[in-house]
Amino acid sequence: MNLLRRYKRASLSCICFIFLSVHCIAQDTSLHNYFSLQGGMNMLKRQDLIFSPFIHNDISFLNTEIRYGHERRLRQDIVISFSSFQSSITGAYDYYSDGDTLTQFPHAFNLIDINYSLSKKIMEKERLTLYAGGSFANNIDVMNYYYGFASYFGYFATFSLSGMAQVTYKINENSKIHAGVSVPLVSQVARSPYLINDDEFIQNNYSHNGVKTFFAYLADGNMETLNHFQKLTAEITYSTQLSERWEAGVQYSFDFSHYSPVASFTSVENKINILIKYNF
Amino acid sequence: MITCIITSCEKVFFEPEPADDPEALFESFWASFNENYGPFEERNMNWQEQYDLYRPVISATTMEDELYEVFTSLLAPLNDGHTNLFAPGKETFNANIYFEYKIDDALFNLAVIKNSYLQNIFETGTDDSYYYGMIGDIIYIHFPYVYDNFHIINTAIDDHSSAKGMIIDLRHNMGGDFTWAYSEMGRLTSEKRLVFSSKTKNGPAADAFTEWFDWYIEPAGSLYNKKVVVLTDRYTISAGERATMAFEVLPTATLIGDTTNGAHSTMVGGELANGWTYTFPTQKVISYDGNSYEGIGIAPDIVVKNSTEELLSGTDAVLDKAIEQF
Repeated sequence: MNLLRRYKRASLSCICFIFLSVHCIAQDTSLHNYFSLQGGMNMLKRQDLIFSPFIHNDISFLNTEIRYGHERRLRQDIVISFSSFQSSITGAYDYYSDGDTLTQFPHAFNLIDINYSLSKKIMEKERLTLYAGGSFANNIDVMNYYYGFASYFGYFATFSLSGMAQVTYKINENSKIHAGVSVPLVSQVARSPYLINDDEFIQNNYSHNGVKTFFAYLADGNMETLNHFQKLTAEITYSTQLSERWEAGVQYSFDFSHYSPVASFTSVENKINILIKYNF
Repeated sequence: MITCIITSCEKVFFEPEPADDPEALFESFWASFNENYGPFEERNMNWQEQYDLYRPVISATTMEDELYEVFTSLLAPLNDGHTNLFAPGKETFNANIYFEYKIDDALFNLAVIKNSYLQNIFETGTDDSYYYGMIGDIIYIHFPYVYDNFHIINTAIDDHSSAKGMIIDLRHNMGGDFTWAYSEMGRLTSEKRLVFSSKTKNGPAADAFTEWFDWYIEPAGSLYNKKVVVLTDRYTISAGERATMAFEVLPTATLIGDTTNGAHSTMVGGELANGWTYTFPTQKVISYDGNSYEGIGIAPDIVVKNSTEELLSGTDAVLDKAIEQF
């Protein structure tokens, strides 16, 4: 049998296998997966004493989140979120330099979260289901602080192993409330140096390669526990079934972070999101 | 209940903010420098004396314009090009006399170089990041700042391998990121050379600094050992001076022009409760010879200054002296 015929037979076998697999999966009516898209308002209150003694506040609608979840024996959730803020003490203003009009810009904060959690059902009672487990929570804050014509890049990044608990309460056949809380137990914390930059920070930038520089920043961080780094993430979601697969809902989430060594860092986020969820 | 818990936590964890009245503004501004300014010693500044001199003139009723004048008077004796003050509707204040009063600012004129020396044949980098051309068989490059524009040095070497050498013009170079310059100068040295050492404030105490950190240029690529002439003036500042320091350690380089500004540290920023912002240096820097030239500048090997009359006639005496070296 020549090669071309063998290739055709193998290709046809693969196609049949895939078709049958999908068909078999489709026969399973349990919806073990979900995908959700969320967006809304995020209120930030933040103080980083490396850059400023002041608390910077902003309310941003540039706030979005995507989630994927899977549950069979264990429940897995992946969350990726992004929020962007601008804040200044008195607002932007103009000043002058050699005949030019320049602007004192507000500081910019971009917050990225990438979390993976794994939990197990530990109690199921009528309408109430309780999960417990752990998560790998990654938070990267990228900042730009502006002082006149000088601007400075800053970062605050945490990579945490957290304990977490979730509870789901079925209000009725169509509606439920889901709540969760997580607390990091051990974290790798990396942030800008005291007084924004030093020789080690400049050396980290020497490669002029974004990826190498990023990992050089992380390597300069410290492993911290609850005595130096405190964080609490909590959320509560109300959702209602629109159809067999589609849900819609509203979610409130709260995130508090505090890091105390040297110049302290404190951040509080309050988010209110609407969400659309697809179960499959 | 949740709101109460959250609010209580916030009060515990957020630090108190400085107040917005004139006296609090003066106190926080003076303290910021007192705790974080690096080269007081090198600039012969007794900062406590400045406090004693100006604090008495500030009261709860001091008006904004008067407060601004006091702040500029407080900073002026530092004579530091890295110290700036920005306020709404105000001209930027720079504590260095050259930048603030534009002394000798007109003694560098790029138009004269373009017209009279480059014959209007030159390449300009993106956003005027460099001016590159030939003066006879000598490479000429002017850098208005220090960033990735320094790659043009290696391009020029490759494009004009038969040139007698190059003139690197760092006059009126406003600084930037010296690491780009150092990473592009590998072909100009055959060995690892110490350029300078620096240490950074890492606490509020007067003697709270990191350890000394040594900065080198290291060989990379095929050696270019032809003559390099570097031009500087009083407006060569910050990373422009760190680039000058790197050229200074090369055996093939000659520095011509005027002494540089003398601001060798890195610069950071701060903000006040009334929205004013400011910059200041946080380091001590010593040259490869173990001496600090902060507040002094890097003196050229050959001192030459332009005159207004010569420039008007299309002559750049500093550049003429550089050309004579080849």
